[in-house]
Parts: sequence; structure tokens; C-alpha cells
Amino acid sequence: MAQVYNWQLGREMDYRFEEAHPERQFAAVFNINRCIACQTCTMSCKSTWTFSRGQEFMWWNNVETKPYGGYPHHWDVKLLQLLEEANPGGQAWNSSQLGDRQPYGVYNGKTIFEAAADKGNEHALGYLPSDEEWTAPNIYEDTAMGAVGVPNESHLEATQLPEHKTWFFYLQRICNHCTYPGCIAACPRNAIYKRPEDGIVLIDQQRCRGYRKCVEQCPYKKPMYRPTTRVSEKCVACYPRVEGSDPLTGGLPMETRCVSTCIGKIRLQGLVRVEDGEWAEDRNNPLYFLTRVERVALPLYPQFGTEPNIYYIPPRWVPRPYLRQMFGPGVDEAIDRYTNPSRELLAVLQLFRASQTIIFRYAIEEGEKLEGTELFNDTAIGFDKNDNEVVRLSVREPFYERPQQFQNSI
Amino acid sequence: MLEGVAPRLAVATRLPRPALTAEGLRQLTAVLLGAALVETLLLRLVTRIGVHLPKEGVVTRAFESASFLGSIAFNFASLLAIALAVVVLASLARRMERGPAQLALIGLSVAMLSGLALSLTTDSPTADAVFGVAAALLVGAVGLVFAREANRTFGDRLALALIVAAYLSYQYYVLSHLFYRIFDYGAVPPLSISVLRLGEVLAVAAAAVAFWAWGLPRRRRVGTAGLAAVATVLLVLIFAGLSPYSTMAILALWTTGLSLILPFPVYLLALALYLLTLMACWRSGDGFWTAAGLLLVLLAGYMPEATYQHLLLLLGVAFLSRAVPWTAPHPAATA
Amino acid sequence: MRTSRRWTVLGITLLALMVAVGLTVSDMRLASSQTVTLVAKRSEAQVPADDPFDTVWSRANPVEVPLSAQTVVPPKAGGDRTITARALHDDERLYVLMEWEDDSEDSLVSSQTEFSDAAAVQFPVTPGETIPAFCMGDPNAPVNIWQWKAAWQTDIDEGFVDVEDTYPNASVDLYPFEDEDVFYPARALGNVFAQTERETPIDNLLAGSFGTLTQTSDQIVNGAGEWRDGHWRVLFAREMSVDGDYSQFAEGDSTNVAFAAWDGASDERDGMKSVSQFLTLEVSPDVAEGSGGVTVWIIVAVVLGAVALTLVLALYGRQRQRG
Repeated sequence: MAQVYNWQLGREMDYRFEEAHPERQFAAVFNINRCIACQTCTMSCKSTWTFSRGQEFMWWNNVETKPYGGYPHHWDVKLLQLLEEANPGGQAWNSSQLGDRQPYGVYNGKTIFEAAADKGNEHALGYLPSDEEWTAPNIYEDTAMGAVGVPNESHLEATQLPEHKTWFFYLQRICNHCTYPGCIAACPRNAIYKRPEDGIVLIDQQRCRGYRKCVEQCPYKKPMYRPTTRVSEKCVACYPRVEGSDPLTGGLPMETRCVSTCIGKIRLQGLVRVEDGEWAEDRNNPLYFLTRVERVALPLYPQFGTEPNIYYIPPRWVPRPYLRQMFGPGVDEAIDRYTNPSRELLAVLQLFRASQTIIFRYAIEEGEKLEGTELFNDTAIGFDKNDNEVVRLSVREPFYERPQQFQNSI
Repeated sequence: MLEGVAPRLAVATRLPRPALTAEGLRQLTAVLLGAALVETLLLRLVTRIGVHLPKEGVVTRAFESASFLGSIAFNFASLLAIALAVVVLASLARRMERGPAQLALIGLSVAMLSGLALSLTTDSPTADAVFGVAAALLVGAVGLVFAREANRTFGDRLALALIVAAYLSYQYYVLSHLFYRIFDYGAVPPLSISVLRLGEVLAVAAAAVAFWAWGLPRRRRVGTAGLAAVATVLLVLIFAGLSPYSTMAILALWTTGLSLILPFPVYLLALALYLLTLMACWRSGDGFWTAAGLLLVLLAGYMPEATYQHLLLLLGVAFLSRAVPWTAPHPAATA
Repeated sequence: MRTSRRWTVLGITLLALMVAVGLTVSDMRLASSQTVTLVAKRSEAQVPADDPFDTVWSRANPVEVPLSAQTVVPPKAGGDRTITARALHDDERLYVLMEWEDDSEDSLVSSQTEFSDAAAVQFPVTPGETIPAFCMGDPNAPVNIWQWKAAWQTDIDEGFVDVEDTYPNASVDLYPFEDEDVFYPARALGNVFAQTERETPIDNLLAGSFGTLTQTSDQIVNGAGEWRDGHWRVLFAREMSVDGDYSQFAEGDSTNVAFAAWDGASDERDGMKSVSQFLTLEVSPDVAEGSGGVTVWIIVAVVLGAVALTLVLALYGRQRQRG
């Protein structure tokens, strides 16, 4: 066991391998507040990567309704339960001291790697979902949380922020391309690797022998076993698009299929620079800005310890204890900042799904104050890898009035 | 006592016996123990665990040096074990009255040693059979028969009987297969695996009884250092057993020839009791030969793979039985 | 007198040490292996490589080998698996037969949680020391492993098993580019696991140490496995002498062999398996004839003789009076 630094936990933790980092890290921010669960992302992924025999049950991208839904069923509840059993009552955070290297404080509980210490040669705590658990990927769709402890009872009275009593939300999930992946720790064949150029985690289809240790030990359950080829497969982060080798990209890094097809404009994906094992300060990278400067986007279940690289803007209406369990102690600050956004944040939020080309840098052009509001009509400009402008959007959406003579034309 | 007996036996005349006192034999035994311990650690244990170590640069060189030193220790210990076995068997024969029993013992000793010589020089299964049967009978005779007459307590005899019974169980497994092979009998020997498993249970039980018989009465002698040593061994094994390197802990136990059919903690407990007993005896003035015997039995292991390990076991049982005159509880010979 | 005796002990020690160094330098070990030996006799009858239950096997001499419980994940110990091993040769090929009890036949890998039963034999590539435990330890001594998999056997016996065999309604109506290998990446890359046309259920592997298991490009081991009445019988067959850095066999030679078995029903795969220690394997020039029951009486006679001898010792072995 080596000691590696996990900034999301604010401390060093046990991991099977020594710390090693890519030059850039694939990362994304998903804004849960805006998702309508249309599943366009899911279908675009399906029709790109998993339409063949043996992949029928595979959804590398899925959107599930929380708190009841899950693909595979109850994956997160099961993981949390395993962790709780391994360290009863000890899965707690100390957020009294925050800092650059510990933006959420220090996690004092056990990660899946630390809790696996009594599991012999297993490197991470986990379980192997059954066939049944992989079925019905959208089970409990739109099923709301009712009255706690009272079956078939809902709160019927009017409700308002900050906490809805009857609630649900959509959780969008792809592989987190973690900094310390459970799947890589689990693989006895060393058949899984993290690419040095972009941190994308891939299973070598030639070396894999179908042991399913990665399926068992990835806490997010994103590697999946394909009976037709007898080996495991997983989300590939649309690497031909991200590396710009897909003919469609014209050589420029391009967002993944699930991100670029998002109708609700909830997703922003890109690459962050890594230096000396940490995200290099890159204030004008929208991902860096959202997660490290504004801290409105939070990792999913950071307590698992894999340092996942998909960040979520938590839903504003959900009870905070549930959100803190899911996104860690940064939830309250994130929701406050998202509810009352700074001028810059409001501008950057416009960049979501604005271009297929990955935005490496943004700039803000200040605009005038909008009448009757506290908002400013600033303009956010996105630049590609070669620093060419690819997108320009203002806070106030352009308003076009259709001339009378075209009223009914298409 | 040794000086008083004329060298009548063929095997005995070739020995440097006249020049060796009980004290000398004690020193030689100590040297054997050291060599066997080094051999077990550097050769048997390290080579097994080594399978699981990365083999690069310094590690490879360290590994190869350890393996080479272990090989020297192996040959050295094997030579000493053969010599001491001859001395032990000769002195046993000498203390017996003339008669069929003495002849039988001499016969068995000669059979074992010639079986050993043939086994070392040829591939003949018959040589292995002669060695194996003679070794089994000698261990049985020394452990069960002679011990009866060496003023031993019930606990002494029970512990010894369990050790001997475990060895005989293993020998039944090996020798029954060997005889079926020699006589070309196309079947699996009856109950061979059952007896083998039974033997393992007996070996584990022997550790507990040994603690009761030899360890408990001397428990005050274990001392802090002894406790610390036992605790260290156990902690390493428990830690290894719980860690991702658990296979190493298991391989370490395999070195003692146990196939781990019982739950893992049972073996750890047995090992702890055994090591405590060993420490207690070692640090008691009167316990040297018991400690030496226990250590030899441990190093021989439950499944002795090589002739050399069988000899360690024979010596171990002989020392534990105190039937050999110069290991007797109140040694007149040292006077 | 005392001084000279002290010198005697030192002299014996030094002499023994010198001899020991001499033996070690000349690569010898002063011990011979006393482990169980598996003998491969010559079979005059033909040994069919596809039928592990053929009657020719009644002529081979079986040995019983204890296996450890799997030692990777808890519970790590406890369990008492045993295999029965037999071996034959016909001057050209070596045959090794493994038999063990398994309540369930786990020969499909179509579901997420199904794992295949499997069995393996392992030989040192170069037979070295006579004491088996040391063989695997030498970093310069790789091993050749032949692994049979029940799932591969099913592929051969019944054609490639796919999801539909477990879930008939799993398939959807349209599979675009169905015949293009690139959409079955493991298959496109030549991963043996993904092959649909198998010629052998046995994987030929080499390993130098832990974590270096490598599939070889020479799939030269044949054989077959069959489950009957709670028993697996798996037959491995290979030319005694082959090209490449694999274990070679020759009549009159001895080497070592170890066994392993996996129980799919217990989710065993990878290092989760039961293993034996090394045994001696002797490729004998003798003809396998099978034999009668007369020898049993010889064994009974030997055992009775031994008991009698012990009794003689017990009854007459009186200790001489001290003095």
C-alpha cells in the first residue's frame, strides 16, 4: 500500500499504487438543477458505443432518479452500507479548517481502500451486482421521497426552498475517470490503465481475462462485464473526440457525446492541467473556476476515496443531510454560491453546452446592469485549445421578435 | 556414561564418539539448530514468499544471495543431522540390553541409513521405501516406546504421542502411495487423504498439549524478551494475514507443511502456544533438550519433503523423549 | 582433555561447513525428495485426448493430492479439497488426468456473476532441484501452466455460448454492423477469451513470478473435461517434446508437477483457487498394465511386520540399568 494525497478528502490515504498523475485530467461539471432526465445523453452514448451484442444491458451514461433509483439498483446505498459496516459511526468529516489543499476539510472516515484492509487480497471494498440489478436502468423514475417512515404518504402542503419535503432529483452518471480508480486497484492483471495525456481510464481489451474484479471494486459500478466477449468494458470518455482524432473534430479536442448532446445544457466538460500531482492553478479554465475557485461543483461521494473527476452542482431543493452524504461537506457553500451567483459565475454558467469544442479558457467582457435586477449583462467568451474563440454568450439571452408576416411559418 | 561403553556396533565405530562429551553433543545440536533455522528462513521461507516479490535489481541480488546462503546452510544442517542421527541411534542401541529388541533397533537404524544413502545416490523408489518405513518405525519406537521408560509424565507422553502420531499419519499417506507405486497397484490407497488430514489436526493439537505439558510449568521463564519475540512473530503473521499480502502469511505456514484445512486463527493460536513453550523451555536451565526437540520438530514440519527434514524430526522426537542417555532429565553423563 | 574436546566440536563444525560449501558450489543438495510421485507409464493402448473417462485410465496409477483452500479472500483457510491425479504417455504425448469432486457444474460465463470451474497443472520449465518447494522460488526458473476452463469446454462441445443461451430474450431487434469485429474489441484484438472458434479448452501459459502470467501464442495443449455425478475429470495432453520455452518431457526423466482447481460456484477466479504443493512427476518406460489385488496382501504383510517389530521393541526393549 502506498500513501497518496486526495485533495477531496484533505488528507493522504492508502492506495495500491504510488501517486502518479496525467498531464491533463478529463473532468466535467454537471448542473443537477437544470436536468430534466430526457435521457438524450444516455441514448447518444448507447448509439455510439454500446449497441452491439452482449452490451444490451450496458449504459455507460445513465440518468437515475434519486433517492430511490439506481443503475445498478441501489449501487450507492449498498456501497454506503458496506462502508458503514466496515467503520460503524466513523464516516465523518472535520470541516473546521479549510484550505487550498483541503477545500472541504478533512475526512476522518475510511475510504473503500482503507476499509478493504481486512479483505485479504482485495484492494477496495465492493460487491458484484447481480444480473437482476443491472436490469430496469431507470427504475423508480420520477419517484419522489414521501413522508419519512410512513409508507404511501406524501407531504401534500405547499413547500418552498431551502428544503422541499417531497422531493426527487436526477443524477447523471458516467465513469468518473477517477484520480485513484478502484478498478485499477482491483485488477490483478494490470489490464486497466489511466492515460498519461488526459487521465482517461481504459480497460485493455487484449489483456482482460474477465475476472470482474473491476466490476466488483469500482464503487460507481461503471465497468461492466460483456458475456459475448467474456471481458469487461467501460465508459471510454469518447477518447477519439477528447484527443481530437475523430475526423469530426478537425483535430481540436471535442466534448464527449453525452455532453455535446445535452438538451438541458447542464454539462460542461474539458481538460484541466495537472502539475506536481495537483490541479494547476488555471483560473480561467471554466472547470477549474467552478470547482476550485467558486466551489459550486462537488465530487460525487468523495468519501469513497477515488477522487472522482465529474463534479456536480447540487440541487437546491433537496434536504441537506442527504446532499452532504452524497457530495460531502461543501454542499451548503455550493448551494449558497449557486443561489446568489457572483457576476463571473453567472457568466461562466452560460458556457455550458455552448460549443462541441472543448473550452480551455474563458474571458469575460463586462456588460451593463440589467434594469430592475442586480444582474449584469456580461459576456462569456470561450477559447479552444489553440486559443481561438469558439463561443460568445451573454448573460441575457438575445431576444428576437418574429416579424408579423412570418408569424406562422416554420 | 558414553565413555564407559565399548564401541561394539559397526555404525558406532566410525564415529568420532570417543572425543565427544554430552557437552560437545549439546554444542553440536545448537549448531544444527542454528543452521536449520537459517536454512528454513533463507531457503524454504524466502523462496516461497519470494515468488510474490518483485524481481528487479537489488531485490534479485539479495534474493539470490539469500538463496545461496540458504543452500549452504541446508547442506551443512543436513550433514550435521546425519551425524547426530547416527550418534543418537548408536547411543540408544548401546543402552539396551542385548536381545531381539536391540537387534531390531540396530537393524532399523542400518536400514534407515542405507536407505538414506541409496536414496541420495539413486532414484530407486525402493530406497525411499526402506528409508521411509525405517524412519517411521524408528520415530515410533523412540517416541512411543522409549519415552515410556524415561520417567516421563503423562503430559510429556501425550504431547510426544501426538507429534509421533501426526508424523506416522503423514508417512502413511506418502508410504502407502509409494508402495502402491512399487507394486504397481492401480488404485488410490485407502483413507490416505483422511489420515493425512487427521495428522494435521493431531499436529495442531500437539502444540496445545505441548504447551500444557512443557510450557505452562515453565511459564515464568518466558520473560519479556520471549513474549516479545512470540508476539512479533504472531503480529507479523496476523498483519500479513489481514493485509493484501495474506498469501505470504499462508505460504509461511505452508513452510511448516500445513495445508490449512482448519480456520486460520486456529493455526495462529497453535503456533503461539508452540513458540511460547519453546521460549519457556529454552530459557529454563533444564529445558534445553525439550526446546531443541520442539524447534527441530517445527523445522521438520508436518509434511517433511526431504530426507533431511525426516532426520530433523527423528532427532527432535529423540530429544523430546529424553530416551537418549545424554539428554536425560538428570544427566549423569555431564558429571 | 576438555580443550581438545572443544576443538573436536569446532573441527567437526568446520569440516561439515567446508563440505557443505563444496556441495553447494557444485550445485548439489544433500537430501532427496520424499514426496509423493506421480508416475506416467507408457500406454500401449491408445489414449483418446477427448475422453477423460476412457477405460485406459484404469491402468494408470492414481495418487491423491491435498489442495489448500483458496487463500486470496476470506475465509482464507478451512476446506479440504483433494484431487486424484493420474498420468500416462505413449512415447509421443504426455497425458495428465485430474479428478475432483464438485457438486455443481459451472461451465457458463454468460451472466454477470457466473464464473467457470477450471483446473490447471504446472511444471517447472527446467526441472531443477529434487526438492519441489524450491522450484518455484528461483526467479530464473519460470513455470509452464496449462489451464483448462469449463466454459471453454462448453464452447467446444456445444458451440460458442452467448447471452441468449442464458437469457433467450436478451437480444434486441437490430444490431448495426453486427459482423464487424471492431464492435467486439476484445475479439478484434485477438483476446483468446473472446474467440468464437475454439480448438482447445486449455490455455498454455508461462509465468516467471507472481503477476507475470502470460498467455503464449502457442496453444499446443489439447484435452477435455467432463462433469459426471459430482465429479470433474479433466485430461491434459501435449507432445512430450515441443518447440519453444515450455516444459519438455522424456521417458526416464523426472520433473515436478503441481495442481490447482477453481470452483466457479464460489466465485473463484484469478488467484482465488486451491493449489497443491509440487509433487514429483516421473515419465516411466514401464508399460501401464493395471494390476491385481495380490499386492494388497504384500502391503498388509509389511504393515503387520512393522507392528510386530514395534511390539518386539516394546516388550523386550527394557532399558539397561543406569550406572
